[in-house]
Amino acid sequence: MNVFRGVAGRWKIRYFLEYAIAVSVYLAFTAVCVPRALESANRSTRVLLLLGPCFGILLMSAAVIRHFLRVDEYLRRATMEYFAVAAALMFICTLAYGFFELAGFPRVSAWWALPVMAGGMLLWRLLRVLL
Amino acid sequence: MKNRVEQLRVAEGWTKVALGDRLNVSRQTIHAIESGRYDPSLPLALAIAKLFGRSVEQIFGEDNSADRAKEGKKQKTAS
Repeated sequence: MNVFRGVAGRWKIRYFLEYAIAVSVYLAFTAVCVPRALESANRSTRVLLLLGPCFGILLMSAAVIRHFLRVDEYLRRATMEYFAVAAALMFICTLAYGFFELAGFPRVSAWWALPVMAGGMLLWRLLRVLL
Repeated sequence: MKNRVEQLRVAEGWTKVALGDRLNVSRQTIHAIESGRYDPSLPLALAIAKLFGRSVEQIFGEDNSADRAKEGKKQKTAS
């Protein structure tokens, strides 16, 4: 396949493998720990069990960081640029919406900051290709 | 910055992926360098120069017309 050609292709394969393992670990921990946590009466046990899926999230983060450190200087710079633009967009959107909430707009969960950031990265990537 | 990477790569008959493999960088990086959108770091510029057997100035100099004139003279004398 074209996307897996050359050095960058090998980086991608390694990243996808590491990420797939991390997601599998996350799903396995979620499937095992969450139902047990919901059944458990003891609060400490419940907290400990609910921390289980966090191990998968930790592995996912490690896969992303390892990929970032593995790629070459140009890709690293481009990724940093996407993150910077996305963070700025997220900052503007969340701050502006905070004021809109004061004006009577419905309250929105802070979780929406993540899709906004992902959207910002995607948008900037698209603009960089088009410009 | 203008450079002669594309010209040298094509002369060698290499694709962008092939050159990237030799330099341990991605095809996107080679494309960005060739199009002048990205100036490589000193280690990468040195690696490119070493690979093509030329100096960094010959590849990344602001004006390569002097180099091209020299090459033209060499080719004439050789033939």
